[in-house]
Amino acid sequence: MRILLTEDDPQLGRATQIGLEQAGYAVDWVQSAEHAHTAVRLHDYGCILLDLGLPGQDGMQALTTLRNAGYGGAILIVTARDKVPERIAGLDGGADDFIVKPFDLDELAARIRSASRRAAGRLREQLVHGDLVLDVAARQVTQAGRPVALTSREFGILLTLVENSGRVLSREQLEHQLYSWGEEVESNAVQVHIHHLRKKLGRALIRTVHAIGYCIDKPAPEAAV
Amino acid sequence: MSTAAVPRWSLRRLLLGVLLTLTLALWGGSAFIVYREAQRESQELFDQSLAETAQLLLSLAENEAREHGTSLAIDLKIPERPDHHRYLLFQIRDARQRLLYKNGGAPSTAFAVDAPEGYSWARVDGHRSRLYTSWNAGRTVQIQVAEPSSHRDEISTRFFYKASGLGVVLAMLAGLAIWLCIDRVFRVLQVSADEVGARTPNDLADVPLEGAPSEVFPLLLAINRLFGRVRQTMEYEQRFTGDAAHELRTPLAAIKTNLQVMQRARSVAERDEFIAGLNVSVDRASRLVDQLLTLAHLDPQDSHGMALEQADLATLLTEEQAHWQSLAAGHQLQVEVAHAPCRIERESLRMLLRNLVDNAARYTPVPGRIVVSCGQADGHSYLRVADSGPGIPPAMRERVFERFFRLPGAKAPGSGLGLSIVSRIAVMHGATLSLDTGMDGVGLAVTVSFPASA
Repeated sequence: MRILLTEDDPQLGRATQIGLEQAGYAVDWVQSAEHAHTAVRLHDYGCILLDLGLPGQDGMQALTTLRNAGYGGAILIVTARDKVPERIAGLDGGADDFIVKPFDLDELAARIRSASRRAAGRLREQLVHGDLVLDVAARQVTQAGRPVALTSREFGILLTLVENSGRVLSREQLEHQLYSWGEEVESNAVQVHIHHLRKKLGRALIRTVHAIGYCIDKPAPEAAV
Repeated sequence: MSTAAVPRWSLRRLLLGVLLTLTLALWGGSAFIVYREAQRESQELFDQSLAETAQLLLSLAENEAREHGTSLAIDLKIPERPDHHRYLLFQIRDARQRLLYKNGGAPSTAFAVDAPEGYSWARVDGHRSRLYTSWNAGRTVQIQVAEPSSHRDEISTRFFYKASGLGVVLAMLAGLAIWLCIDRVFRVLQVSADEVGARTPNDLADVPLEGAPSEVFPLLLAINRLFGRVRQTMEYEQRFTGDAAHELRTPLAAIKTNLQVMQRARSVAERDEFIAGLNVSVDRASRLVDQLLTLAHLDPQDSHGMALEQADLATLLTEEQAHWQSLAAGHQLQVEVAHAPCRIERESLRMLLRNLVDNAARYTPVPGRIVVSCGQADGHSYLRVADSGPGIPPAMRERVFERFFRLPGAKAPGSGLGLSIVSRIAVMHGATLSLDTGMDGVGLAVTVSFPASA
């Protein structure tokens, strides 16, 4: 999943970005609300982390602007302001959660998962696809009850394909979910990860749609229970 | 508080005491005068009627004496009353003092030897009595009338008791009226006192002034003014601690996140990057704490106690410039001094200078120019720090003195407290601050203009 981080403090911004990348997310970091609006127009984010004390446009206004522009993903407010009226205004203004600084990185990751899970309409941090079970929190996969060891990037690709099962995703779309801006991406990186996934999980799972991309078909109805 | 244990003098008791004593004394005095006057008047009336009775009896006796001569006792044929002696006794004598007639109860001996003609006092039968002695025109018959004073005393005593009884009732009514009035007046005071007393440190709303009497009004007004000042101070404190906590959270969050990321670093380079980030964040937090403490020490309420001394800004600048070299590293720092006498507090003015130079160095891209100067203009001594940095747009110049205010998009690290500190120190010196365009049409110039020395 790709996350947009809006934070004006350089040290905190950089550390949060790398911390979330360590947890397996692609993170784009901007320092003002204006840049956040531009980024949202250009890319597809699963979650936005929004600081309230931003220079220029205030975080609360940014929240309203984002929701008015039709952004439907999760928005988490991360702020030093912890007054109850501000929390209420934030949550009522369209935020999914309210996190007060200083925060714990693991808790932040859990809240991101929780908010994006609700945004996606799921109840638990487990995705089931046929005999495949993905534990999103632990980033682990079992196939027919047998654990399968995947790298963080491989898990990311599998998760994206399962979440969008039935849809064909292009190589660029998959790359976009895995890599932050400025990260070096080998041109055949996605192909390599897909190759490894097929070796570990069987060739039939991921279908190549020629000249378009990749797809995991929806599971057969009787296997979906 | 132990104020309840200390006996306090009471305005109400004092007023009640003074008014009651005064009323009673006035009433008592006037009652005494009226009593004496009444006694004198009644004495006169009694005397007059005594004389009239004596003249009547004398003319009767004279008639008898003319008809029967004075060789024998005469009979006036007056009906005798058994208690006559309680009211009137009389004796009629001839020129040789022989007793011609006396009424029942009167002694045979003279009432008083050598009693003068007219009124006099004497003891008759052991009773103090009023005497009236008179001769007829031919000085052949004399009459002496005696009236016991007990009769008169009885009447005046009765009058005295009646008057005092009425007086006591009136005094009690007056006392009650005074007490009720004072109570009513003091209840108004009590209402105001309760109103103030019911306040808690969290409830500093103004005491209502409607209906307060003009005597209490200035007191309530003064209390409201005090409340206003306390309210301001408390709001300031609350805002200050709120702002401070808020501003400290960001560097603390950066420290915590840097630490966590460092622990999970995927490479040595990544770990080193976050050790550096940790350093910067800790520096930022400690600088913020330093500045917060400075600002807290510069409480506006304390400025009255600040000892200002006569000094020359030129000397101060010359002494201080060595300390700025490290602050302004990488910049071209110029110090231009001219004679500028004024009254200052050295330590806080050093802090003001350090903050201004630090600000200039922070926001001016390296290599820039910073000019610190002092001198006199229009009779005022001034201090100026100018730089060749990005400056502050005129629209923002008012706001930069607010605590924690930072210019949008400001990249240089800063707490947003420097100019607040500068502004506070300027206020403590009674100096004015102005922001202008700095050198060569760019940058910022901060001028501190001191009041003319007396």
